[in-house]
Amino acid sequence: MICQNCNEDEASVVITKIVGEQHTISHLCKACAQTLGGASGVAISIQTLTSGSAGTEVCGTCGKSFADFRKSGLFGCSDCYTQFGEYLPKLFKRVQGVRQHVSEEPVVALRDGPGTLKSELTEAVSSEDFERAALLRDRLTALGLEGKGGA
Amino acid sequence: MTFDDLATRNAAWLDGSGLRASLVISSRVRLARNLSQKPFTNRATDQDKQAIVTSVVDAASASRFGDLAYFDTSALNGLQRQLLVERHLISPALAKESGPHGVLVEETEGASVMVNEEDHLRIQVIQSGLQPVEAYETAHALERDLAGELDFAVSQEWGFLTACATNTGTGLRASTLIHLPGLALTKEMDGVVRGVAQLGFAVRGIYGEGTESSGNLYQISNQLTLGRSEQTLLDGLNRVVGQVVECEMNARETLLREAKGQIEDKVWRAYGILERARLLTSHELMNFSSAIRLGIDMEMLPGLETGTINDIMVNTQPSHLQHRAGQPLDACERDVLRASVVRERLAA
Repeated sequence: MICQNCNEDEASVVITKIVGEQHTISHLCKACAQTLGGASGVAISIQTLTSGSAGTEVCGTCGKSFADFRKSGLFGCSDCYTQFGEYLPKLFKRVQGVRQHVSEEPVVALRDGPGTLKSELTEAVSSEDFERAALLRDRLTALGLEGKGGA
Repeated sequence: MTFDDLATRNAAWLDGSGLRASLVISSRVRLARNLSQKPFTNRATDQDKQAIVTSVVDAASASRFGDLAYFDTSALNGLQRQLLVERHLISPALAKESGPHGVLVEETEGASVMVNEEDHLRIQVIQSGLQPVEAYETAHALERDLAGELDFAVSQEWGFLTACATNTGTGLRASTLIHLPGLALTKEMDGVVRGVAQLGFAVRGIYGEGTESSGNLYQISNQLTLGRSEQTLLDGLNRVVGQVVECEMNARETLLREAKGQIEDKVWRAYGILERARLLTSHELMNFSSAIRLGIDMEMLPGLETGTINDIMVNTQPSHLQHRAGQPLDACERDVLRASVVRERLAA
């Protein structure tokens, strides 16, 4: 990851600052961490990270305004992720160092439960997507919901 | 399980049975999850929060973890809530929440689920010793069971959607509670904290975020939750903790080589005071019990076990003492009772 202060050198220092509900994580190179004088002077808040926006957007589902989000650092509901979506790649790049989720678990397995997994498996088999079918079958087996030969 | 049952028995993770348990007291994993179609706790009305409590409790009772007992923390008094904080079953933040909230607790206190903290669900598993992967597997099994009944907020792009961006993705925080007196005595702790931070892990006090270290006990946990798989995060924690353990063992070797007499004296003085004292503050107890943990580890105190010190550490905290007394106690009364409990446990 690149240093959030100079945007040049590799970040090797992580600083977390928690004040009330505000969580901030800064990734800095060694030189910037030293120059800026430790944790108290360098925390980059979510407010700063999203400072380019006008802050007038409001989530249509929960009514949280982007200004509120910037102030508290907390999303109001899952739809805020869509509503404020255009700012999130930049936000997550700064807060977490990456722009997307990685998991060994197929997201669908936890979102929709075994019923959907089974229908996905049937669909994968009928469309001859055997790689995906094998993955789904393993998942169902792991859940104890599918025999070895079942499809 | 009633509140009194919980308050008067010990959690399984305190028994000192896990891998390297004299040094790594516990491994804890927590998964932050929210229900889709419901506002997060910070935007939820009391009605929403009550519906969330009902859904989660119903889902848990339909799972393999059906014997989890639900404690309605919004109906508990301040002392009872604080006891759950001291037990690491709820966070200080949940103890201060308004509206319906609570915690589901397994009889052994290994698995628990906070409901309506910053996220709708905070699934937690604590185990004795260095076992973050095993703790994760249990947490994941509970999560999987709950997912059969509940619809978690998740997206392909961002993974599990949490209230705070610092938890988005896996929602996984894995930590170990580790005793590092050697590094403190050789004044190498600052260097270790810096090194661990450079690897993307945080070092915090005994109760997690925003708390100070006490008794040379530190929590080491992953900072980042997005863009890395659960396995990568757990492997990373195991590796980092392994390195810290190695540094601690080196520091202890140095101490034994260069100051064995002083260390033995420190351990036995601590034991002598705990065995005889009539007044003990929390701070004194944590410091002396750190010396005793070190003594047990270095085989200087035969017959004394890590489980006994863990038991003392938990059961002499302010709310535990007051629950035992059955009434509120001022600081001086607590110090008297604390000393008495310690004498009783050491004599057993």
